[in-house]
Amino acid sequence: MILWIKRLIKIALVAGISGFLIASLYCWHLTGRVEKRFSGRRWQIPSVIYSDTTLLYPGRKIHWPSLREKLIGIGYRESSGAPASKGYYRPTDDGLEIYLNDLTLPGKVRYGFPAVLTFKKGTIHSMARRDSGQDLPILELEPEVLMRYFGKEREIRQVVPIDEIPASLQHAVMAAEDARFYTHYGVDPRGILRAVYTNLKHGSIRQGGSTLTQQLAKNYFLTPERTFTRKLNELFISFAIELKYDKEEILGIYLNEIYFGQKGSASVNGAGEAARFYFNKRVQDLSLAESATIAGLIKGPNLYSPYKDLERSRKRRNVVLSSMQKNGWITEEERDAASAEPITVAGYEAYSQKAPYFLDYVSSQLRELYPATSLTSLGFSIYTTLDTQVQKAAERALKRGLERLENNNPKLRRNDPAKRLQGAVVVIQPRTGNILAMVGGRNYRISQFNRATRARRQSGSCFKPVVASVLLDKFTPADLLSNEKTDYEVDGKIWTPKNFSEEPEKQLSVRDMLRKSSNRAAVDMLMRGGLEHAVDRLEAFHFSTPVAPWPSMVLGASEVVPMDLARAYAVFASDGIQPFPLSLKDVVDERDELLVGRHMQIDSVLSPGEAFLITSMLEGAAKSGTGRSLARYGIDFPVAAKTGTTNNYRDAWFVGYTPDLLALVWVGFDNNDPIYATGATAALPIWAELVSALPGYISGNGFVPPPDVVKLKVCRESGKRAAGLKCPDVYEEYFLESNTPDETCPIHGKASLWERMGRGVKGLFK
Amino acid sequence: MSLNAKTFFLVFLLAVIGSGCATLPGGTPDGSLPAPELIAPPDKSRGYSDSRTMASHSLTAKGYERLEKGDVDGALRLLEKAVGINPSDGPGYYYLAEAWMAKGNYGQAERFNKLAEIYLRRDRYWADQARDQKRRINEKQSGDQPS
Repeated sequence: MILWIKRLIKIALVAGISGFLIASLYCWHLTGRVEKRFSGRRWQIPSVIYSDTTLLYPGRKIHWPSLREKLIGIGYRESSGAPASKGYYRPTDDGLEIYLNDLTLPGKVRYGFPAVLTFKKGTIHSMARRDSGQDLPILELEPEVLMRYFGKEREIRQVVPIDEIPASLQHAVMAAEDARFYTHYGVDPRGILRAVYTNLKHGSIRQGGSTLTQQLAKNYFLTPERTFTRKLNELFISFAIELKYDKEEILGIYLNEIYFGQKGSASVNGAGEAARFYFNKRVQDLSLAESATIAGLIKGPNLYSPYKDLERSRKRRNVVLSSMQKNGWITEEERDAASAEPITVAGYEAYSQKAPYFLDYVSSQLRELYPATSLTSLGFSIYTTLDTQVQKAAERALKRGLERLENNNPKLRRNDPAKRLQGAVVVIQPRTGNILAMVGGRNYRISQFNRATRARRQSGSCFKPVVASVLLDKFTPADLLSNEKTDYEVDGKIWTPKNFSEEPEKQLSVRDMLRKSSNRAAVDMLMRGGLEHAVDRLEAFHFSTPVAPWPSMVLGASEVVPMDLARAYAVFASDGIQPFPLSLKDVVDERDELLVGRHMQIDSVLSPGEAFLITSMLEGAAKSGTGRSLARYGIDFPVAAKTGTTNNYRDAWFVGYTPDLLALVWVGFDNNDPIYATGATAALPIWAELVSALPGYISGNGFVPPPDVVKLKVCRESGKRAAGLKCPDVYEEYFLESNTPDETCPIHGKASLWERMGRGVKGLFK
Repeated sequence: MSLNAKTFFLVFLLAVIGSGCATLPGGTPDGSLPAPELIAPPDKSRGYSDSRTMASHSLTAKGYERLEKGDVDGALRLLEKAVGINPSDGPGYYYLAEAWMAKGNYGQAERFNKLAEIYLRRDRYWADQARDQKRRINEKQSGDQPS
């Protein structure tokens, strides 16, 4: 008997030791896997996409709320006194005090320093270093983070190091989930016993006994199955995690890993992302009450979400606060004060992705250069041309403009969000081709189709200046075109262009054709100038869609991509050169090695004179033609612009530019339903609102004639060089030096003194 | 031709830049870059007040310095910013053409030189520089062509 007992003990001992050894070996094996899973994830550095930097200089117009928004977007915080450390600013009575952050850009490092800016009448009056008093001619603000690549597709997870996570949030999470986190070894038997007791007492699952480590272990698996083997595995993984990492590291991984809720189809993981999603704050800036709210979510992220049920979320928060107080992490007073606070969530809008269509556009270029895995792990810094202030203004103007149109015309309203009235905006710097803003649609969540770069729409009258520009070797702005009803034979059929409204003039100059946007005169110009010749020259504009060799081409019958049209107009704004549209500028790796460096690239499309003549004529269109209502919106600086409206009011366009900035607006339905509005009534107000919100971007300078342009006096009636005082209606017109009217007015040139006097007398009675 | 306020201002501006240029050493006979002081910000005390131009000239000057040090990409970045905020920055285009020459892209250099010629045409010294640049670009281009 004793022998048997001894044997049994021996067997038990051997089995125990073997089991322990096997378990230890398994744990050791798991530590490797755990490290691969968590450490790998921890040390993967997501690539970051940045906006462009912002240049400030004395004389630049400033809109303080926008500048403040910019500073906050970059990450500056307001200080109550004079900023004493980097990253702080303080508005003063007459300007701004700022302690600049370090700025690291490809090939440039600027160390932060304190600066003082003064404003006067809405402009920067002076800029100087606060320490040395040295004047600053120019000051560069750091770029804003637009997105981080983390995981597949667009999932962003703001990885925050544990030392940047406030103690209030760390304590709140422990209070809510695992108060003895720092004292157990991954599994908390007391916690399990208490959970079992509570659950038995209530006859239902009221409390879980999982520690933070166990929860993290659960996250190791991607599926939610509940089997014994799986539970055992979780246990071993918990031990493995505890063996591999110290407590602070585990808490750091947990806070960056754990699920905090759902935003549409995307999950919100990590405290950094949760802080932004629920409160639109950096995690470092969370208050005690907000920390407790976020910690309270872990138990049931969607059940306790303040977006779903504010009262339930508040109650859960207060439970967490009480637990924090019970554990000695906060005082009773702190608990009471935080419990009394209302929960103010940021709202889905605040969380929305910055410039989503632009980021798609950049991402597609990046994907051609690098595989997704590199972008999510190699920590590239990707610099773009986007200007967040312009982007916000564009998004705001489009949103408000479309709402205004729907409010004014109930026929434009649609119940199905996917079928609503749409729009697109592109803003570029015409000289450099830098894309400052891109709005590809009304709501990215509803439709990710980027209308700015992918839609193909008829351009209507916006195409007339493009065609006119390539016919300036055949016509001058003063040449007269027929505005009479004319039949043209196209593919064996008769086609008769119509004007938008009745026009009494039988003839119009090229200038007036563009100013009034006359269809008949435009077709006359094309047919006399040569259809094939025009189509050949149009190739230089790099349209990605074909321009059909039809007479109706001049009326914008061929489909164009909005970005291509903006690019074509950039030629007029910049002396005939066409810049390559730039969105992605530089890609720098973790060690600051430049991997991609893109520069302004230009192509010669028109002569400077040709470009200027079109600009001059479009200035007329903006002042007294189809764009004349710009003045009503307070646009009082030199602008060249053109409206466009297509058949049956399917599309409304407005393209306008100054020497500094070019913006294009398109409005329409995806399914080509009519919008019952013209370019002047639907797109122009959006353009005007956008440009009015960007005072710092418009110099107010006019367009200067290049050397190959001359100014001559012209007889309005004949369109020829004025015959001194003989012509009754003379105006000054620009001409290419190489294409001036060689003929003097044939109508009045030979008039005798008596004839002229007779005309003068007639004129008195008109 | 009537001399309106803007034309007068432009002429005056170029005269100010030009006068600064004239007092300083010019371009070297071998066609290397002129001294950086040529594009120093104009003197405010002389009535010059276009801060946008001053800001762009400050960037152009820095771009020039980068170019002198052989950091062509760094120079391009600064010069592009300069013409971005001030599209009439003639020296900016001039140095952009120099930078593209340094990169061996004479097509781009030629296009920027054209812009430099437009915006520097009213200043004799700079107009000569732009013409000389054009000559150098043409020489390089013809030298690159297969015989």
